[in-house]
Amino acid sequence: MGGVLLAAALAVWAPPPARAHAPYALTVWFHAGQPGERRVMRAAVDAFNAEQDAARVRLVLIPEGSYNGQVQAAALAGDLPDVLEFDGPYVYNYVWEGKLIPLGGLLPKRLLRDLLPSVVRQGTYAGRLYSVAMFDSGLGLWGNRRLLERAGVRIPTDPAGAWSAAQFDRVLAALARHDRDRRVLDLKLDYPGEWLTYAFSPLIESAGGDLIDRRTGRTARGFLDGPGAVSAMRRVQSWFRRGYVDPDVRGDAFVSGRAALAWGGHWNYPRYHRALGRDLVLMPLPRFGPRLVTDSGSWNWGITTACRRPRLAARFLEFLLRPRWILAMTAANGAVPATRTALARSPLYRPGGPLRLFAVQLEEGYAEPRPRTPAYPVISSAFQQAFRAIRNGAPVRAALRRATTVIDRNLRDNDYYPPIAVVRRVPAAGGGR
Amino acid sequence: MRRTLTTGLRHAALLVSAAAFLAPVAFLVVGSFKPEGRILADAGSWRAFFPAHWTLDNYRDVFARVDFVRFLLNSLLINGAMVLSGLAVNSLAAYALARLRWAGRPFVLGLVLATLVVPFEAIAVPLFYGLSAIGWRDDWSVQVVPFVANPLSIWLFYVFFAGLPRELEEAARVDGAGVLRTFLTVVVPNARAAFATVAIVTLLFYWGMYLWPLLMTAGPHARPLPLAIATFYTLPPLRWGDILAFGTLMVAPVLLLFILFQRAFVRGVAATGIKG
Repeated sequence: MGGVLLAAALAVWAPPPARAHAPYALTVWFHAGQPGERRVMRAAVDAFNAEQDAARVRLVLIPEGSYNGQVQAAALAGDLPDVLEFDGPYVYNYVWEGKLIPLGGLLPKRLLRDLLPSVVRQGTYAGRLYSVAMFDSGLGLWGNRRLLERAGVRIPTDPAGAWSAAQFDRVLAALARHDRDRRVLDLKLDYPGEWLTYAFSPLIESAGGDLIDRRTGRTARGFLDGPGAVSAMRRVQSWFRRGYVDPDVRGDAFVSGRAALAWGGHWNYPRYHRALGRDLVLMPLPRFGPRLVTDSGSWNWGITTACRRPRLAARFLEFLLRPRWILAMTAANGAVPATRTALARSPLYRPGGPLRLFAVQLEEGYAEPRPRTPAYPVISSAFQQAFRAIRNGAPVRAALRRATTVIDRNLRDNDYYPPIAVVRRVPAAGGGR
Repeated sequence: MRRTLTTGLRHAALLVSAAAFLAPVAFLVVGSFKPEGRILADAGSWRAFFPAHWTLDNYRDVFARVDFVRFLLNSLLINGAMVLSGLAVNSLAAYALARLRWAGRPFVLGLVLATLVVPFEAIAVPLFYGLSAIGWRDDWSVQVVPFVANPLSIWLFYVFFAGLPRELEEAARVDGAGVLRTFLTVVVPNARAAFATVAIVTLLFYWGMYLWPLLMTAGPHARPLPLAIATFYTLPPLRWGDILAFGTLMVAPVLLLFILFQRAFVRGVAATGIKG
């Protein structure tokens, strides 16, 4: 009787059977961008959670305006998420600070081969891939066909036909002759942040200069203040001096038909297309030297050094890079799909699509990524200051020299950013499936 | 005649300065009801303050783009807890400094005054490291507790309590009331203006706090309003109408509270001498 009671008691008090494998809580930080982007990301996370039971993604939306600040604070507090999204300017800085692990051995080779070369170049630091992306950006020149034809100028539609610097000057003069206030060029001077570097450093690179010596990463002297950069920025300054640039405080210079040309990117297309319809043309930037250069880069994905299960994190990234999700995301934000497979299926970017030029620029190597140095945020900030001074009429060489001094001082102060954090490896133990 | 002229000039100067202070607020509120295309277009003229076409689109956008109610509740919880606990702790500390006799009192009072000149930014990083080291981050309490004791609040209460007639408290003591009872039943009812002033000053200071929540919060569950506005600073083009609408909604609770307690605040300002 006693034995029965004991058995019954044990049966009642026996601990519940342990679960074989509780799903790993995979924390993912995503920028709280446009509502459409958020909808797609939430749907992707739900689909990923439903498809497998090894991991359960917890999506955290971080406001875009304070994103880098929150990442830095989380890193200092040892509280980084497993998977992190980050904007292009910060890729190399985050790698150098030891926030990210290399992705080379974690993602399938066929997927890496499918990525656009611009995305791979953007994500590579010291020979290793640290980030991938669902989309890339396109930079070009938007034109109003009606106004361009009225001025009798040739309309280039591919990189090979890009206007030279002298041709572009003549185009501006011709357009100005047909324009009441002569302000024919919208340079998006109302855009905040990194725009000035993103939009105008390609002109310097096209003219033979650069933001920094990319080979050594140790100086900007002779590059940002060299003859190519000075001549490029003097030409830009002449556009302001001659009154060709519309200050566009209302943000409607191009859509209202006041300006015939607008410096811009893929994100302008929906609004411009609504306003101009068939009169909207997309052209490459002018080339200031023998080769055309444009910019690239957008939000990236990486796996942080805080992640205990990098292979699970990589599985999530692989899931996000499926054509279905890339196409859904790029339909929401209008950006260039980051894989060739998705690109071929995109109505906007496939051959014959209205934004095909952006894809060609990225695929055929016209897009130059940001300099691969942790100093990029400083470089960008120094260039922006120089650009504003030049816009306001400051001597070009002196403005660029000041920026060069700021950059070189930062490089020197940081001992030229020795690769202290690049030695990190994928954790072997517990690296998981 | 001369006196009338002087009064007129004084009123004119006051009107001009009032307009200068009100203009940004008026731009914020009026702009939030304008169509996106008119905000920057009107910014350089008198039309900035008189919309030709009213719209609620910007407010609809705000509620569509962020979980505004959640952020508002977070802010109300954090600031409400901070104000209430701050009133209790700082008034008691000030009373002890103003009325009780104990060893080291002048030194402690000097120390409290000295901390007034240390800006928060100077201690933010060590505080961040210390609290992160013990794993205290990413909740609402870490946005409250470090700020409960506040030297400015202690000083305002101290000045007010020091000016109260001692006879009131002595009468309570004669009736057998202890220190705490005297404080609660005699001092607090006579110091309503000081409490209102400290509450409003605390709220004004912390309602818009950005750096500390940025350092200490990661998820939206504990994020207050000032961080949420960063959601609107996206890739260009920015939607200024949404930013102005969010700003208006963010300012409204503080403004409402100030209007409700305006009289007590003005009395408190006069009594504690914080004007100017």
